[in-house]
Amino acid sequence: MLRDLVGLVISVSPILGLLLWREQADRRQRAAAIVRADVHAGATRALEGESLLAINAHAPTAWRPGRVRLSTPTGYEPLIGRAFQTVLERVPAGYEIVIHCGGNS
Amino acid sequence: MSARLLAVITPGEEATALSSLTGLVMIARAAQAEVRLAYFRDLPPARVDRHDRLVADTDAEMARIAAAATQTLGSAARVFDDVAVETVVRFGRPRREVALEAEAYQPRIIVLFSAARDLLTRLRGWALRRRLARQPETRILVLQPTPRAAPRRGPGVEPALTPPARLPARRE
Repeated sequence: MLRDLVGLVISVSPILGLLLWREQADRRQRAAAIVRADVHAGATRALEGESLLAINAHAPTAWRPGRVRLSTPTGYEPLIGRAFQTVLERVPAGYEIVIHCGGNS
Repeated sequence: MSARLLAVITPGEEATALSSLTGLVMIARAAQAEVRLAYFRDLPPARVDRHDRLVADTDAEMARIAAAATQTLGSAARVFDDVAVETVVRFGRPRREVALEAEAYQPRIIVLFSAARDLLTRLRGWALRRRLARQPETRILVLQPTPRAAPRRGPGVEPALTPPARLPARRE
């Protein structure tokens, strides 16, 4: 009886572990998507409409903080400056802001 | 100018910091912050000649490096006269000194420059970020220069605007 139980636990635990890990990853992605949507809404309002400012959010993990990446095409870097104050207010604690800046910023 | 912005320059990031200075000032302008450009270096060893005679002791080397860094960063920052920029140079273990500087200056935003390609420098940067992230009320900002693609030139690539060598014969 005990051997059957141990066998069952050993055979089922990888699948359960995988499901739990996937659930955790989905939860992190959902949190990052919410942060991204919030920052995007703020930036759109600050820039008075849709712009070429690209916003990308990565959720924090155990070994690195979350990241909100801001980037623009070359020549459009001032957009980051115009939206920065709003972005700074909306990015939650535990996230760092990564800005890709070129020579025209 | 109420908010404070601390820009951390560690060894190996000098060129990136100088090239990203425009972006840094743009952010300071947007956040209405005053900027402190802080250059962190290990303690330099005393300089000796080939007969082991002392040419410059550690203090003199520190003064030389500090003067050079202050002049380089200061002259680069002097272009932007609408943002208050000050330059400081700190010697010691960079990670520890950065944490001390952040504690003393109490900045709202800490700017780090990310230019590291090798694994060891990346690991050091990661450890520094983790240490700085513990401070409440402080935001970490990473400035990454955008790599610019060099124009591809070679025998296999034909310029798009160059006409073909021989035009096809027109059929009458």
